[in-house]
Amino acid sequence: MTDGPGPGLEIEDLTVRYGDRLALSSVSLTVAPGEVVAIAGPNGSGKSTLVRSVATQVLGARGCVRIHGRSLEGLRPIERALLVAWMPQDEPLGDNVPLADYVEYGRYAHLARWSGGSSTDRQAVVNALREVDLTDFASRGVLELSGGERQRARLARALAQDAPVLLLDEPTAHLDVGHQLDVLERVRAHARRNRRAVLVALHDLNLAARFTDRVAVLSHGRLRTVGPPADVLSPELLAEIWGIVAEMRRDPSSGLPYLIPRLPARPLPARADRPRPFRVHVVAGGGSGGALVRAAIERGWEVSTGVLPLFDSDSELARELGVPAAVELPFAPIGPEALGRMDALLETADAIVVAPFPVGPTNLVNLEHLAEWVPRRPTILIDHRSGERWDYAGGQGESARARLVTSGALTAPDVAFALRWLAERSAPSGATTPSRS
Amino acid sequence: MRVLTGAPLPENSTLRPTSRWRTGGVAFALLVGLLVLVGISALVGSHWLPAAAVFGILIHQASGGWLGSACGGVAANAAQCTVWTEVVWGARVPTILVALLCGAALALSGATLQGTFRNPLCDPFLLGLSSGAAMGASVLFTFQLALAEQATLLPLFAFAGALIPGMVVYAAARRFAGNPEALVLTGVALSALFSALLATFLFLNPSGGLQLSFWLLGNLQDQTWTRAGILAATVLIGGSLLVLHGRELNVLQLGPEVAESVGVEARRTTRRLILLSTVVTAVAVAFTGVIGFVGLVSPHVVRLLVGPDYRRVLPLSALFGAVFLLGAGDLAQVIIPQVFLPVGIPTSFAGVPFFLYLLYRPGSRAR
Amino acid sequence: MSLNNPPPRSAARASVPLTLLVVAILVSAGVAIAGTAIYFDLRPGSAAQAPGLGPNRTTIVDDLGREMSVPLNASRIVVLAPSIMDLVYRMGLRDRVVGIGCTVGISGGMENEYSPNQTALWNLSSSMCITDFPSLDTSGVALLEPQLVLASTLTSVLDVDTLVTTYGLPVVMFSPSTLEGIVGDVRLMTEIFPSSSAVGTALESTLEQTLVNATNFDTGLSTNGTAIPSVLVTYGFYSGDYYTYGPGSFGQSIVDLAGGDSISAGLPLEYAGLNASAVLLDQPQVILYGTSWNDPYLVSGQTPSVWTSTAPYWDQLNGTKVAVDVTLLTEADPTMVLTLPWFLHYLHPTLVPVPSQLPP
Repeated sequence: MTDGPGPGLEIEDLTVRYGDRLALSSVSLTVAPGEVVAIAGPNGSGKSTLVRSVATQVLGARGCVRIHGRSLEGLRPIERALLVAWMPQDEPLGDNVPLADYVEYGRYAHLARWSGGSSTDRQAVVNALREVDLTDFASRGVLELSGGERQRARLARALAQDAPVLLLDEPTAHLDVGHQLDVLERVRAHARRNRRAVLVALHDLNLAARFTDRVAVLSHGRLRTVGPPADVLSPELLAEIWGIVAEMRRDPSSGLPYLIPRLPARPLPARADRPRPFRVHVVAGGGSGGALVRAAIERGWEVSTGVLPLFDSDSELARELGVPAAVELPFAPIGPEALGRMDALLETADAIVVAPFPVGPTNLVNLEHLAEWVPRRPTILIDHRSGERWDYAGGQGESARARLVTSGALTAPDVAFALRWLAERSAPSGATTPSRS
Repeated sequence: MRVLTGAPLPENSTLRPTSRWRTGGVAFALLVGLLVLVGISALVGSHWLPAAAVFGILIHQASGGWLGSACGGVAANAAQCTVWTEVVWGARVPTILVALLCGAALALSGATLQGTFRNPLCDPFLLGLSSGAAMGASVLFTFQLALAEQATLLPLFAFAGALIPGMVVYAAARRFAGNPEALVLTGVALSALFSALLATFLFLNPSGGLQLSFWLLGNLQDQTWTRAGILAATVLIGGSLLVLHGRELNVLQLGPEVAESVGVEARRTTRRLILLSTVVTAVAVAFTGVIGFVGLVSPHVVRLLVGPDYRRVLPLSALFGAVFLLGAGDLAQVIIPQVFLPVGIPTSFAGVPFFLYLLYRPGSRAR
Repeated sequence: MSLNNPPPRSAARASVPLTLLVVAILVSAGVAIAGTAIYFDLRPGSAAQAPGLGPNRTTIVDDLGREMSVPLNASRIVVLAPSIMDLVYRMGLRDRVVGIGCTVGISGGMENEYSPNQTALWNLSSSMCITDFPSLDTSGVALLEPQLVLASTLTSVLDVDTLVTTYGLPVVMFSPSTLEGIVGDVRLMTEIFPSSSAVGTALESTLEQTLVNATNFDTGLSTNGTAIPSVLVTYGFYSGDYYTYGPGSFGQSIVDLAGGDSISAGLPLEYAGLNASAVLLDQPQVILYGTSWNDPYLVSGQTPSVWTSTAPYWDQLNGTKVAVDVTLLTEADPTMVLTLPWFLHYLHPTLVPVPSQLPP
C-alpha cells in the first residue's frame, strides 16, 4: 500500500468523553508523511486515549480524523486497518503460534478471503521481522519469547500492516536500553524510508527528544504545546506539566536537550520555635559541594554558598538551583566585595559547612576568612579523601584549616556525617554532637 | 492453549509450532480411522449379523440396487432379508451418519466457542443450550399429543428450546462483544432459568418426566434417514461456514481491540460465530439429546496434535469429534453385552481422565 | 539484500484453496445425504409402507386412540411390559411370545422386571429378553420378525415410532387408566386374537363379576353403616416420608373399591410422599405396604426387616400391617383385578373370608 505525498494524519478538534469524564478536549494535531511525532504527558493526560481514538472506533469520540485527506468516520475495521496500524501497549496473551504467523496477523486486511497470501504479503512479514531484529525467531512460538521480544513482535505486526499511519503506544516499555535506542532508530528510519506518518506515545522525554521530529505535550486531555523537542522541552514545562524540578542539559554532540529530573523540594513543616527554615552556608568549589547542596535542599533547608568563581561547577549548580551565592570572577583572587557578600550570607546562616574543596592561591581566603565566623556559628569541616592532594597553596591551606579546627570547628569524615550533624543542629533542643565513629 | 501455558516455556516443551506435514498426517489418520470405524459400526449392534450380509446390503443399497445382491445371498428367505436390510440400511447406517454428524457438530461448536470466548473450558452447551433443549422437550410433553406426532415434533421442540438461550446471548453479544465473561454468565443464568422451567413443567406433568428422561440421557439410537438428512444439511452447511472463520478466530485470541485494529470486525464476527454454533449444536441436541465431553475434549486433543492455529483446529476438531462419537457409540453398545449405555457415559469416562491429564501434566501451567 | 532464512510458510497458507475445496465437498455431501434421506424414506417397496387392509387383518383402536391395521391371530408377538405379559398369559397366548422387554443392566437382566413367581409361572427365559432400558433395542425386536408388538407407556415414544416407521411393525399400546380399562384391554385382545375368544370372553366376565361384587359390597357397607377403615397404601419410604399412591393411581382405586378410605386421597399428585409424622397422627387402621417381589408376601405374615427396622415410626403405627406384592398395586393387568377380594379381606377381615386360591 503506497501513499502519495498526501497530508498524512490530520486530527481535528478531537474530543472524547467517557460518561461525564472528559478524556480529550479539542485536540488538533497533524503528522506529515515521514514525520515522527511524540505524544508526551503525565499519566492520565490522554495519551492512550488519543492513540486509541485514531486506531479504533471509540464511542464518545467527536471530531475529525483524516488520513491522506480521507476521513476515518464510518469506516469498517478492514478499511481502517489499511490506513492506520496500531501497536498497543499491552494485549492479552494469545496462543503459542509461530512468530511468523503472529506477524502475519497484521496482513489480515490485505489478504483476500480466498487466498493464502501472495509474495507481497510474505515479503512484508519478512521485512517486518528484519526491522525489529527477530528474523532468527521466526519459527519460534510467541509465548516462548521474552517480554521484550514479544514487544518487538507487536511492533513487527504493526509494521507488516503497511499502513500509511503508524501509532505506537509505549514501544520501548519493556526493552533494555540497547533495544530501546535500536527500536526507535528503526522506527524513524522506517518512517523516513517509507514516508509513513508516525505517532508515538512516550514516557521517556529524552528518547522523545532524540528520535522524534516534534513533541506534542498533553495535560488533562488538552494539547498544551507542540513543536520540535529543543523548543518544547524545558525545565519550566516539566515543572508546569509534570510537577517536577529538572535540570536541562544539552547533549554536546547532537545539540539536543536532555533533562535530568530532580526530586521536588519539600518545605520543612513550620515549627513554633523556628519561624524560618534552617539555613546552611556551604563553602565549596570545584564540584565538591554538589552533593551537600542537593541534600540540604532535599531536607528543606535554605542553602547559600560562596565564595565561588563564576562558571565553577558548584556555582553553576547554585545558579540552576536558585541558591544564593557569593561569586567572584573566574581565575581572579577573591576580593573584598565578594567577601562582603559572603559575610552577608553568613550573617543569616545557622550553620556553616566546609566541603572538601581543592584550595589554591585564589580561594585560600575562603578558609582564612572563616576564622572570624567559627566562634559565631556552628561550623563543620568535611575531611578530604585520605591520600588525596588538595592543598595547592603551598601548605597554607593545611594551616588555615588547622586554625579553624583549633578555634572550634568540628570535622566530619564524610558528607553523611556532616548532614547528620546539621540535622541535629536544625532540631531545636536535645541536640548532642554526634560522635565521630 | 493460552490458559495452560502462561509464561515463556522451557526449551524442551512439547508445544512447538507444527509443520504442515503433521497436519496432513493427522488428517489422513483421522480419515482412515473414520472409514474403518464406519465399517466396524455397521457390524456392531445388539445382534450379530453375518458380515457378508452386512456389506452386501451396504453395497447393494448404496448403489441403488445396481451392484451386488440383496443381503449378499446369505439370508434364509426374502422376509428375513427385508428385515436385515431394514436393520442395516434403515437403522444402523442412519445411526452411523447421525453419530458422525453429531460428533462433528459438537466438536466444531466447542472449538468455536473456546476460541470466541478465549476460554479452554467452553463446551457447546455453555450458553444454556442443554437446559433450553430439555425445556423445549418437556413443553411438548405437556400437550397431550398423539404418539406419532410426539415422536415427530420432539426434535423440533428441543431445537426451538435450545435456540432460545442461544438467541438471547446472540442479542447480548451486541453489547458485550469485548467482554466474554459477561456472555458466559448470561448463558449460565439462562441455563439455570431453563432448568427451573423444566422442573416446573415436569412437576405439572410427571408422566412426561419418564419420556423426557429417556431423551435426556443422550442416545444415538432410533435414528432415521430423515433425521440424518436434516442433520446433514444443517451441520455440513453450518459447519462449513464455521470452518471458514479460522483466520478471524486466530486474531480474536488477541482481544477485540487488537482484532479491530488489524481489520477483523470483532463484534460482528463474535455474533456470527455464536449464531452458527448455536444452530449447529441445537440441531445435534434435538436429535440425540445432550452428549457431554465431545465438544470439550476434541479441540484440546487436536490442539495437542497440530497446535493452536484455528485454521487447522476447526476442521480437524470436527473430524475428530465425528470419529470420537462414533467410537464411543460403538463402545456404548458392546461394553456390556445386551446393554445400550447412554453414549454420554463412555464419552465422560474417556473425557474426564484426559481432561485431568491436560491440567496436571508436566509442562502445563493451569491458570 | 537477500534473505538468510525466509520464514516457514504456515501450513494453512497455501491450503486455503484446499479448505475451499473441502467446504465445497462438505456442502455437496450435506445436500446429497439430505436427498438420499428423502429418497430412501419415500421410495416404494420399503418395509415402512403399511401393508394395508387385506385378509387376516383387522382395524382396531388401541388405548391411546391410535387406529391401526393389525394381523389377526398373529403367531409371533413381542411383549414389552409385564402387565401385558399377564394379559397374554391369561388369554392362553403365551406360546406365541417370541420376545419380551427386559431391563437389562449391569446387575442382572430379566429379574429386574419380572418377579421369580412371574418368571416361573409364565415360563420365561432370558433368551427371550430384548433390552428396553435405557432405550429399546428396536433392531433386536425387528430381527425376531414378529407380526405384532404389544407395548405400554413405559416405552419411549421414539422407540415406538421407530418400530412403526422404520420397521413397519404394528405396535398396539396398552394403557388402561382405570380398573374398568383393564377389562377393556381384555376385550381388545379378543378382537385381535379371535382364536382365543372363548378364553377371552370368560376372562372378561370373571373380571367384570369381580368388579361388580366389589362394588356391591361397597354399597352394602354404606347401607349397613359399617365403618370404613382408613388405609395407608405405601410402596416405600425415604428420609421421613412414605411414598404413597394419590388420586388417579391404581393403588388408590383398589383401596376405594375394596371399601377403604385412603389417607392419600387428598394429595395433588398420582405418586407423592406423605410426611411420616402426619401418618403417625392419622394412625390409619390398615397399612398396605408393597414389598419387592423377592420378599414373602400375602399370606406368609412375615415383614421384611427393611420395613421394621428403618421405616419411620413403624412400631408406633398401630394399624393392621399387611405386606403386599407391589406388582399387585402397580401392574395394571387382570391379576390386579383378580386379587381384589384379597384386599377386601384385609380391609374388612370380619366381613370377608380369606379368598380361595388365585386362579392360574
